[in-house]
Amino acid sequence: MKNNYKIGKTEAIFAISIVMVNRIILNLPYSILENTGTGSVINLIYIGIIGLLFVLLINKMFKAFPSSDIVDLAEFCGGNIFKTIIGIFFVCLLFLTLFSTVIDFTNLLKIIYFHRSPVIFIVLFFILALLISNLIGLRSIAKTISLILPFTVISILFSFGAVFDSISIDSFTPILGYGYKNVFVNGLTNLFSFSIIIFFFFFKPLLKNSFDFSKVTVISFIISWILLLLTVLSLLIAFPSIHSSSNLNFLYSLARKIELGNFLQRLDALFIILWILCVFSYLSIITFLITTILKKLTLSTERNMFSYLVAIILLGLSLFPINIAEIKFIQGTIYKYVILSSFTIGILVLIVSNVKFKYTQKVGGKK
Amino acid sequence: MIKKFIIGFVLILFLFTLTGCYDANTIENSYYIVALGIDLNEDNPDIPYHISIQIAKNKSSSESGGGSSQSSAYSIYSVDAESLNSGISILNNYLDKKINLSHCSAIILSESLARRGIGDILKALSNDHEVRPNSYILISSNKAEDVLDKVANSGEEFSSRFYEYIINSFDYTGYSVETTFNKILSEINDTLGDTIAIYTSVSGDSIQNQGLAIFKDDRMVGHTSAIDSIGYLLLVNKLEESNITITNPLEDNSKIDLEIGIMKDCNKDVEIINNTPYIDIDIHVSAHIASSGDNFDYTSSENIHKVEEIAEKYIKNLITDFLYKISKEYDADIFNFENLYSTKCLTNKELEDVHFDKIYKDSVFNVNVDVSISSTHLFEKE
Repeated sequence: MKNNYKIGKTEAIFAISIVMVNRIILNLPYSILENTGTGSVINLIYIGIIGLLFVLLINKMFKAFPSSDIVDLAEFCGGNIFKTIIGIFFVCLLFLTLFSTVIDFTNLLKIIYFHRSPVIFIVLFFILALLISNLIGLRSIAKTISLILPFTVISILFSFGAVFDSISIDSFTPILGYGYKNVFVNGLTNLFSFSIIIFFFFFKPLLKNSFDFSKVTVISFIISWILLLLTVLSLLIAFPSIHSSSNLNFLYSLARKIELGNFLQRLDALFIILWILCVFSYLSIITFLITTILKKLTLSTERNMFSYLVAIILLGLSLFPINIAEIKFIQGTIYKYVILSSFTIGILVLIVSNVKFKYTQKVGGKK
Repeated sequence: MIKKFIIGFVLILFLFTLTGCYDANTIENSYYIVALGIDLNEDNPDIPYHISIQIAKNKSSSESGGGSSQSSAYSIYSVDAESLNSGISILNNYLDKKINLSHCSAIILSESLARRGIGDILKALSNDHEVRPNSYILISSNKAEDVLDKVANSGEEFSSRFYEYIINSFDYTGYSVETTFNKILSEINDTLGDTIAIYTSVSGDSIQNQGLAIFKDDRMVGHTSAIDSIGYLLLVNKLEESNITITNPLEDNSKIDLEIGIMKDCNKDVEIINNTPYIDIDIHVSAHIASSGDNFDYTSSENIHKVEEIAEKYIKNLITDFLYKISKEYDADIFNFENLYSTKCLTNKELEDVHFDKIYKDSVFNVNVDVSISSTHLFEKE
């Protein structure tokens, strides 16, 4: 692999954290609040601990494989056929993420600012960006993310700061929302919000130093967790009945509420620019991962061909007329369960690989 | 090198797509609405809204008259419409420029419309990203169109400031409350609790703040007097400064003016005993004696203590009457006591089982006021 496709520790942390920032922009906090209401704070702490245990487990199981991702491990476990099945599964998952992100964010932009512009213009904007960034390489994407992410995180922290004055304990009560079962059992489905875990399955071979993998995963997970928790807290403070109402994008509505005296108002306009750049970076990272998997599946040395392919397929799919109900169904239901099943599949592949690795070592040792 | 050149060329080419001006909104092709008035069209229930807009004319059109209904720097146009959006569309069709709501500083709703419900109107406005979240919402006992007309002819060069003066006086009088579009929209959507807005009426050639319009869900159910705003601001910890006049305990037929403010945030606690909410409120007020009758010795602790007692009684009565009025008469939970009670429940079901909305009317309020006179003004003895 060329140097252009290896990134450092900080760049990797930023590149993974941008996944959560994008999910937050695309109304993830609302999905959590819809599931668990005012119990979301407790639920997020609970699923955060479970998620962190998952991350530690992934780190431990990846230790034996210094420069492999989940597709390599699938090949190690079950040969080419298993590798192809797992590879296609993750390509489909990442493509679904790519597609739903483009559709959802395009829809948001069209409603807010470009209601008279044809959708294809807005979609093309994103597709060209992801194509160009992928033609240049991972390092340029990672560097762009390192530039954009701090500002976007500041915008989220700023949103929290803006509502901090109105913070009151009754914004988060009843603390268990819809009940114990809802928070601790049904609320486990909120684990899908940590979709960044999927990216951990692919990031180890991309690191300049694979020993940094555990630091990268733990730090990026904690950053994402804190950001998600802060956004959920902000929304609960700013929109007391958020769980019983619906909104196209609550973070945008929150940004509209921010004002610093009479001079600094309507910060949403500034935030939207940051979010657009953030979505560009997110789409670029996903496309990069898709091309990496496709390259491995086809044993091809040519990456750019796949970038063009992804861009063209995405353009074709994005032009397919989809209404808001279908977007919400894809984002809220299909995406959620596909993410949860990908966690399970990833962990299973890791467990089997580790068992096989230990068995082969044992057999090798005896010989 | 060629690859970089191609990418660079594509990026530069792409920049031109960002500079399109065919759909640009400039000051020349927009009419900026200063205030939006919405009345209930009682003549025709099928076309329920009477929508009026106050437009700021630019200097040239102001000088030439510009076809306005009067000779001020503002024009007022009205239409009857089935909905807010169709009203704006009709006005856009009628006017030679596109209406722009991004400078709309006030939205005036007539009392008759507010009593019918304003949820639909607010939701329609919230969908328009041009509407400023901090636009003021005023409820008018008269027609909203009349309010726009009075403001347009008030002689105030910037009408938007006129609306600001009505509302921002809460900062130094306590007789008004800041009610912005965002606040009301959020409180109307809140399933626990109700909201308020400023209640105004046309008086002579001007608009006067008459108190608070009380809402139950999205419908106005009544209004209170301007002095009740002091009670409201004390209960939500937003009172900056206000004056009250109490009887002088040391001299018959004499009054004392107190300048009051908040010393410490008020504590509220809700207990439900035998299906009756018992609401305890502790208010801490700081006060300065602004003026008194003759022969008043401000340096005597005994005198100060007597004044404090009278002031405590006055504020306690003001707040208690206000709380019973909004609970018993209007059944509106504008202080979100239900949400406050939610801190004592672990789950939503526990809260729902209380049926707070049904028992709120029977609430018993126990208001404790602590007034602390910290200083006088320039005189120590009068």
